[in-house]
Amino acid sequence: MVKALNRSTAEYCEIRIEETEETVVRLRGNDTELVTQNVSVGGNVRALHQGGWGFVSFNRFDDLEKKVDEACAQAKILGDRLKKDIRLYPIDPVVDYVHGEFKKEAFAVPLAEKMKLLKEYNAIVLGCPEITSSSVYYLDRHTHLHFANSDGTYICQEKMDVAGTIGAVATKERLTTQESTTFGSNQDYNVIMGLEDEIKEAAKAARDMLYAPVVEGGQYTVILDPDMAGTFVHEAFGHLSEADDLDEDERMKELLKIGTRYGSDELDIYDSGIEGPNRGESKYDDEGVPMQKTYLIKGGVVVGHLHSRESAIKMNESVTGNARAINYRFPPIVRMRTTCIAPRNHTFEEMLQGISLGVYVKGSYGGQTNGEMFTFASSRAYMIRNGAIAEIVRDVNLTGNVFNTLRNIDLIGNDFDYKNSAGGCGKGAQSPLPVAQGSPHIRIQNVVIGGEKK
Amino acid sequence: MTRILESAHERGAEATLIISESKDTSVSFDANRLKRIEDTESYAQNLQVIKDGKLGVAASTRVGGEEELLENAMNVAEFGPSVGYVFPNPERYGQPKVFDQRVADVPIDQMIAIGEELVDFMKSLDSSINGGAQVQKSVSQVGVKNTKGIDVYSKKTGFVIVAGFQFVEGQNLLSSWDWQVMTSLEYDLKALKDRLGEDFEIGRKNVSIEPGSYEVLFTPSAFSDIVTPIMVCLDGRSVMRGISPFAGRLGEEILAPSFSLIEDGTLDGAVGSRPCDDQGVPCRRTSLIDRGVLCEYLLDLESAHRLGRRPIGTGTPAGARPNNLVVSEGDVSVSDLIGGMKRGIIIDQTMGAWAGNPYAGTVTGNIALGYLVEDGKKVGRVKDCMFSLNVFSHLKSNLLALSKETKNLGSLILPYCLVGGVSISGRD
Repeated sequence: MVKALNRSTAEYCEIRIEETEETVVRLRGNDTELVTQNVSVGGNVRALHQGGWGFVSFNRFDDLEKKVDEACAQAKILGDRLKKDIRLYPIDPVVDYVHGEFKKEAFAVPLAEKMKLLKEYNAIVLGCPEITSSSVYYLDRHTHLHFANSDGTYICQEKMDVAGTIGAVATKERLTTQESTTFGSNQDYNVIMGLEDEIKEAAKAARDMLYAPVVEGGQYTVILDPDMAGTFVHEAFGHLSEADDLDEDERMKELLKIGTRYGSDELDIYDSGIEGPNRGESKYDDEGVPMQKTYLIKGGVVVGHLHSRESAIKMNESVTGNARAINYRFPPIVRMRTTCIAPRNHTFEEMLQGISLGVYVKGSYGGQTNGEMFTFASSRAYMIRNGAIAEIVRDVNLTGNVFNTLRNIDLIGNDFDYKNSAGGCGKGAQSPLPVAQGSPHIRIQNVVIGGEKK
Repeated sequence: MTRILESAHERGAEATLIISESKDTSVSFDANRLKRIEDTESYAQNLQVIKDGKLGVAASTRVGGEEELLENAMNVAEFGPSVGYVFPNPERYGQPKVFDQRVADVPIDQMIAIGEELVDFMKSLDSSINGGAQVQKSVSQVGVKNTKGIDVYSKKTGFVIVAGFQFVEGQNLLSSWDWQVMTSLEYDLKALKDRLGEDFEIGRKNVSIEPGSYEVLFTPSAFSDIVTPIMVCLDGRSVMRGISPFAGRLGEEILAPSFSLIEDGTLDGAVGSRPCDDQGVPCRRTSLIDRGVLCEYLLDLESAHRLGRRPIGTGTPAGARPNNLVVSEGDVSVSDLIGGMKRGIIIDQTMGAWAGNPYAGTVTGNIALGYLVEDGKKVGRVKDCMFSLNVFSHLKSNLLALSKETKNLGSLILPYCLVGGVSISGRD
């Protein structure tokens, strides 16, 4: 790699080489639907010249030096047109071998053992009342990632990823409902153990939803559980803080300017790559920058943004270790890691008090944002009537304006929890990238819920 | 026979091997300027083996990794699904016209020029607009072979142009995107510019609407959110498990008589077309829903076997995947559809409408880009609200019209769709 890098004629050049072994299992109902074992070996070269990026990815390694030439040639075509003096945020060169110190290696567990456990879980789902089918998904990956750049950095990281979903499907008279429990970790296969109670709870919710009315559309006070609140903060503020969407847009920069108030004094939001065993965290990002914990909002006020080396220098801020690529086929872009709302001291009971009509939203199907608006779908929800949890309702989708909704968070709970799921985050063509979220329960005023008004 | 297939056969397995190789080149513009050139060369082998009635699947991008690939597939077959099918014998395969040498030969300068023309146009709308574009070409080849003697080879080109902008005024963000996808070089930059220009003109004026029930014209891109649950419910595997509300209803009128849906992997010029599917079954044209009547499911070999149907060329080892889905066009022009709306909403871009329960048919999403229409004219942008409808009941009872114009979204070819009685919720 170093020899190939020496050929670079660009201002900056990097090489990434990646080898991943992956196991995927899918069970549906009484059937094993798919068991597959995949090997992915590939690499890329990225080069910067006068503001233009060249990028070449490949599976054939026979001529790495030629790939460096190609990426540099592309960067030159661009740079000669742009003639921009864009440097990268300076990082001290580092040579490091990050041996995966995993608690329990998922890739070392025999397939027979994984299949036995997944089938036991599947049997629990299918044994629950009124459950007609199941949806079990399991994934593990073991990656060796080599990264070298023209600054003199050489890093080899060993990574692990394990994630999955155990879902229950209930069907009655052409109505099908589903609910699931998920797991995920970057260092411990044991997250898959002991899910029996969660699975039964999910199966009960799927069944209950068969008899649940569709929620009535309108504006409500809502309480989000930690899972949903995590999705909310990821969609509603995390994406806005990704500085590669801000660094050349003066108006967006103004909107997210340090010091702008978007919430109450209680609101702290951060994104971190060093929280613990969460998917998407690692020692270095895909530009070789150490991951760290970055506050985005502190005391309700914007205090930081998420950066790559390019966006950091353009905005005159420090790097944060947020440049990530889903794999060698893509260049790194600014992405989240574990995005959190910090806990405060309110109890769930306090949040319920004073709500005459509201919705308690538990569990997330996923969400999306376009910058100013966000939306997300819940997998399970209950009406709140006169300060107490009431009947289950289905098809609950929430939406709102990002800025107004952050201001409308009026209570932040004390029961912080992380959420790792089998899904991931999408940006550009890079999806699903492993990420995690963390939050306590939060209460938000005036949230719009879609649906018919009776 | 290829060596790896011979080895599989010697070990008592039947096997299908898919070798794909492609080269993509793209130029990207961000924040009104050319930013990146990317070249992606990829190579992959995918192997399916059936040993003692059980299926094992493995994939590898390691060049020369055949032995490891076979070993992995044989290992997982021990734990894989029991299948009731065998790999097919060779048949006649069509060769849809999906390769255009002009695409393969497009120089990078021409791709840059296309992007520049689009970005220059967006900049001309307002100097503080944030315009982006991407122009991408791809050349790919796929070989499908099996131990029964199938040996099918195909080549394809792809050309994609994406353009859009974000425009910020105070805390008001307007973003609009459009794209064209094709296998040839028949792009239309004027159409892209006209559309983005119109969004910039009308999209900056916000209008508020009261929650309630509205007539809604879904553009092809928004209509794809409505078609998705139908696609999910047509999947043979969800039918064979009884999850799909379409199970056991072949021959029944499930949607309005104006609605027809066709799967067609043989269409010339469509990006999803190919000679055969991932299981070696020839692609063909199949009516799934004909004038509202359910005719066929999306099938792979296993679901076809269990449902007693003939496979239609939409198979993968893990289930069905359509090649090109086409909703038949109507006979009214888009301008006449809009002109005929007294008070309604056009929904063009949605957010979060994919998240939900497709088997229940409920589609709820945020209106990311939508317009209020009064007396046949777009009067302003509606935002901060959600639309909600039930696909099965609305497309059966409230489907008012389909346009004669269609748009190719990739592997979905759709018209505009006018639906009545769509719930819009927002601030009270």
